[in-house]
Amino acid sequence: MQYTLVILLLPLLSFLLIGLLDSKLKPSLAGNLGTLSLAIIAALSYYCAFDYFTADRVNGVFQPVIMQMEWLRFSDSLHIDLGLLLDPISVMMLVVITTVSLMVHIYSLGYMKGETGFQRYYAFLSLFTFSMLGLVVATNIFQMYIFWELVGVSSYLLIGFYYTKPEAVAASKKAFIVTRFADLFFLIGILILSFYTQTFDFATLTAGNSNILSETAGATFLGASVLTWALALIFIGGAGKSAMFPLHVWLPDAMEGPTPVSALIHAATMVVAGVYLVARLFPVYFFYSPEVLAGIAVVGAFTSLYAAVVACVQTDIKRVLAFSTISQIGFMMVSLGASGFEGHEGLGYMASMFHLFTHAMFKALLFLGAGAIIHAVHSNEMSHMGGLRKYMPITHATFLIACLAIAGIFPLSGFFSKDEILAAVFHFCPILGVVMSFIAGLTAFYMFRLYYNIFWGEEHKHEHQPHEAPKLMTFPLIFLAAVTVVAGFIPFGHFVTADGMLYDIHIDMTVALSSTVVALIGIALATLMYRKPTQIPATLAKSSPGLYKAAMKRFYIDEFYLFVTKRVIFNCISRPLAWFDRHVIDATMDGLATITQQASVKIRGLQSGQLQRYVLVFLIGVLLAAAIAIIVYLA
Amino acid sequence: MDYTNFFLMKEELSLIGVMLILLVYDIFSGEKGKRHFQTLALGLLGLHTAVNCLPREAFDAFGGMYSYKPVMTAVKTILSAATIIVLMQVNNWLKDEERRNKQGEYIYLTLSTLLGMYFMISSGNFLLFVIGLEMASIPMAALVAFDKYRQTSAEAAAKYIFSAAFASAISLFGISLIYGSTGTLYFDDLAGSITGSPLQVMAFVFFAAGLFFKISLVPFHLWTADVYEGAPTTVTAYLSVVSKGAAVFVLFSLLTKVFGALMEEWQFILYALVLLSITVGNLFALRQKNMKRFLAFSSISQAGYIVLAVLAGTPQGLTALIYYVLVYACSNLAVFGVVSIIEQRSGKTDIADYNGLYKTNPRLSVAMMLALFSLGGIPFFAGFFSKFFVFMAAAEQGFYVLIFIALLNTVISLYYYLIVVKAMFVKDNERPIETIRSDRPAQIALALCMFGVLCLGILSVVYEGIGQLAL
Amino acid sequence: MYELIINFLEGPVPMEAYLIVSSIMFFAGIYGFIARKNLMMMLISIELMLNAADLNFAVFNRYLYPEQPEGMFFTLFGIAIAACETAVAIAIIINIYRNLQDVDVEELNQLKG
Repeated sequence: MQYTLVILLLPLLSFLLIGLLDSKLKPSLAGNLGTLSLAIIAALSYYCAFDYFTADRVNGVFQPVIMQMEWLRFSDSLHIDLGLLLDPISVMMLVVITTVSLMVHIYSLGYMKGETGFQRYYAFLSLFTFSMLGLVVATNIFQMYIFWELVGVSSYLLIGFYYTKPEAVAASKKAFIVTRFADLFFLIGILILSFYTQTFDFATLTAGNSNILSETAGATFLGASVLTWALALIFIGGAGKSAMFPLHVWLPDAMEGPTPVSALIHAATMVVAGVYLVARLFPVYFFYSPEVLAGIAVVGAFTSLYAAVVACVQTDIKRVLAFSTISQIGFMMVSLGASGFEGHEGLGYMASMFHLFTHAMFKALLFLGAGAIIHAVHSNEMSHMGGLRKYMPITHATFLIACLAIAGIFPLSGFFSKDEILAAVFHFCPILGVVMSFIAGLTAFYMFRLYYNIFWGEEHKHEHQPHEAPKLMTFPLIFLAAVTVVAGFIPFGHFVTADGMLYDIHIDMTVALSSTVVALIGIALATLMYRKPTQIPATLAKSSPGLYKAAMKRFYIDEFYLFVTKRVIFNCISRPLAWFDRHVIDATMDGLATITQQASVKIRGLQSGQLQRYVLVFLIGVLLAAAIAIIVYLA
Repeated sequence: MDYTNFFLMKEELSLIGVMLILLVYDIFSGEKGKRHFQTLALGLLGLHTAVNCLPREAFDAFGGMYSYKPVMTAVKTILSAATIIVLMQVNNWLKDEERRNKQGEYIYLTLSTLLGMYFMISSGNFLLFVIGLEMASIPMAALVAFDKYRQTSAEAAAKYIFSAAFASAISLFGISLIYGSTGTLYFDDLAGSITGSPLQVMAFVFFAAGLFFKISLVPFHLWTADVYEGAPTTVTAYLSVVSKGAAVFVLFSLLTKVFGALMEEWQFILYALVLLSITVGNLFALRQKNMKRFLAFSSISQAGYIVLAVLAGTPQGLTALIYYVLVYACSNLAVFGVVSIIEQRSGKTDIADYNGLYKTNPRLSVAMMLALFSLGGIPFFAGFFSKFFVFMAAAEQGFYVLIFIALLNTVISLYYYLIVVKAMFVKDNERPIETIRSDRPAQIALALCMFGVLCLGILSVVYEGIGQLAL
Repeated sequence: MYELIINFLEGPVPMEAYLIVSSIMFFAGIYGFIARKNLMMMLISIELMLNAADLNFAVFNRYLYPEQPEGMFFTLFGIAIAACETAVAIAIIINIYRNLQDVDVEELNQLKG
């Protein structure tokens, strides 16, 4: 399967080509070049998936394909490799990334038309695609870390694409700093893990009950095993990228970037990197520190609930979608945390990956739809929309499909994946199951609140008549909608499971029925409140102003961070430090600088330009060195 | 006497062949043929490098007078490749009105220093070593004096030849004392005979001073800045990269092979020299106004880092050393390439002249910036990896304090490299250097260096390949 | 006392005598190099230093290791090398004289700092 290398190299090539030529390339050419290369690698990924999943199973498991070369060598056992690892989840991710990326590339041809820096935009898109692909096919955790950082950088570049807009610059900085902060823990985790296990390789790490790991599990630190610490730290890295509470603050702000970018990076691909990371190391988590796994479930559930509540009151449509993304990633995390390993026990893992797949499609669809709407009305605010269904029939239809899918209505893809997640969570802990069902209902509610506010309700006065997006933009919408409709029927358990064995999905009727009912209630409520302008939302908001305002302000998490950084860190730590710096360190430094200057004036005499002085210094040097050497010899 | 021994010295023979062909061509070609002289020289030298780039089995020839190890192929290839790059940069400068008739001289002189270095590297006896060393330094003085109507060039040449002669006299005196106390000049025999006595220790220091002079370690460095400033820029580039690289390699092999018994002593001395070189080099570099002087001090401090690898004294140290020389060659030749292009077209060499260079010559500025980043050791440029490997090698031998000081010094060095970058990109200039169209060979040379700066670190094959040879 | 001197003068010259001579030459050379201001005189001083080393080689060879003429060879090559060095140095000195109309080493002070 050597051709998979092309999948990785082609986007890099197109990045270099477009990036280096930049403004020398005609914008349309740059766009077409990027899109063409993406189309090629998408086709290759599909072929690769076909190839991989039609190969024979050995002992009931698809064999991983590893191609790698040694890169940096520290010792015989510890070296960093670069390579490609194909196994069910990485192949699945290849398909997801290339599909969504291709759609975004096509869509952007229309959406970004005429923007300054069009070529730069496509160069960055290629860079992002390259790094994301490199991340998922990494054979070892260090390679993953390198691409992880590259993904962060390209995301930073894309969020800050409109670099003349201060909000965009601030948002890109925030995203970079928050995720970098989390990555620090990730790196420490990697170092601990590799120090104790002497390997970076995923294959070695996840190879069932390997000796290295069980030995390592013995070492403890502060009451928990070292392995647990390492895994927890690694999860913090994943939580940063996947916007888990309390590291989620960057994601809503990241919506300042161009909308297709949000669809690609902040909905479908990069933000699920954390989920992917946990899935990649799942056997290690499961066998060696189930407590961390339980922690992941709790963090996921809380994040999911929190984000869903906040999403209910946001008015910027992209922010609603951002919070919905956070909430859905929470679902995936819970499902992973609740999963077992073998057979039916491993349902959660399968469900999580399945949801990752379906969510990527319909969330990208939602974002692209939102992009089309913003394109039409030139605003992100719900209050500037309303009644758009007449003007934008295609966008309307596809958006509705996506909303139904995320709400979990049969027979759309979201129904199947969410159903599996709920089943797995109920199996793990019924209370958590109830909570997650409630969140599913909330999801249906806020999505339809969004839907009605955009497409129904009171029509807003527009300066220009809103119109349907151009074909380049509607094609990806239709394609993704089609995928959303049929994806649920993919027998996902035949491809991706925790233990690699074939697993048949059964729909658990009680869970399916109850979750459908909950979703329908959510939709009904939203219909009641938002389909026509009513006083209900306002009354509700008034009846519990505290809660409403708190949710509106995203429960003050951002303010809390500001408080911590500005008040606590600046006042209590930085001020005294600044004083210390000015009066003690600076004084010392000034002194040092004076000494250095005087020294440099003094030693200037050395470089006098007089040959004979040079030779004298040389001679003194030789004699001194000889004397010292003899003293050392005698001593 | 077995004359087939001569044919074992393949590298030297082919280089002599190149020189002879060029000599004959230079004499018999007319005015027209002279135009292609440099192309021919580059082609032949390229051929020579390509033919000799594959390592052979280790052997001794002439009863141990000449000894070959596979790792020497790596060093010689790096040196001759660097020479090719220097000759590419010199192309345009040599075609000037006043130098057109002296193209040949420049190239034979350069090649004969290269030949001297080859002999020095492969020597198995002090006699051949001394001949090689002198062959590498005497023509160099003529090269430094190449601009003979420019007073600074003559002055630099005088300073160079006198300092070099003084250093080699001291070195020879040291060798004579070593001979007196052991009775042999063969490296293999010496390794057993040097057991340590105050006389031998002193003789060793006298001898090593000659090499320290070539590497320009503090306090044997005082000639460096003056000569670098006065010499034609391309000669400076050659002096700072090729001559230094050869000397460092020889220092390593002599110290570990011949003076292994005096390890404690030379480690102590090198420790002090590294410390002094890095620090003093940096301190002086901080206050330079002239680009070439600035680079002289930067190269002194770089030499300190290279000698850190000598201090380690292990095969890993040798690998790190050769790798460092390779990376340093790419970065430094790139910087000198830009400096010499600018000097040739505008005659400006002050750092202040570089203000606002980015506005008029963006490509040269970016190349210069990348090369300076590599010299400063910024991550993911080749220079970062070379420093990293040197530190790793030294850390294995436990020189933690020295590494710590070296690390502090990299920060200082970063500061002054960034001063130049800032001058080019940020500062304004009322009369910036006009836009320059550089000639094709210089562009290719610069591109090659850029490739090295950007890719050598990432292509770990290079480091590992050297490591294989160095075992 | 008288006999001692006679014996010394009539007997073979001891190696130490040569070494004393060569050392004096060497340090005289160093002194000359640092103290003389004329470039030609400095060059002659260098020759002294080099010759001291060459003398050492010959003497060690003759007295200590007479089986093989290694030291003698070194001396021969040393003389040749010294000649080359002198040739180039004189050429450069002439060049300096052309530029400065002087061969005083202290005039070489354009490059410094």
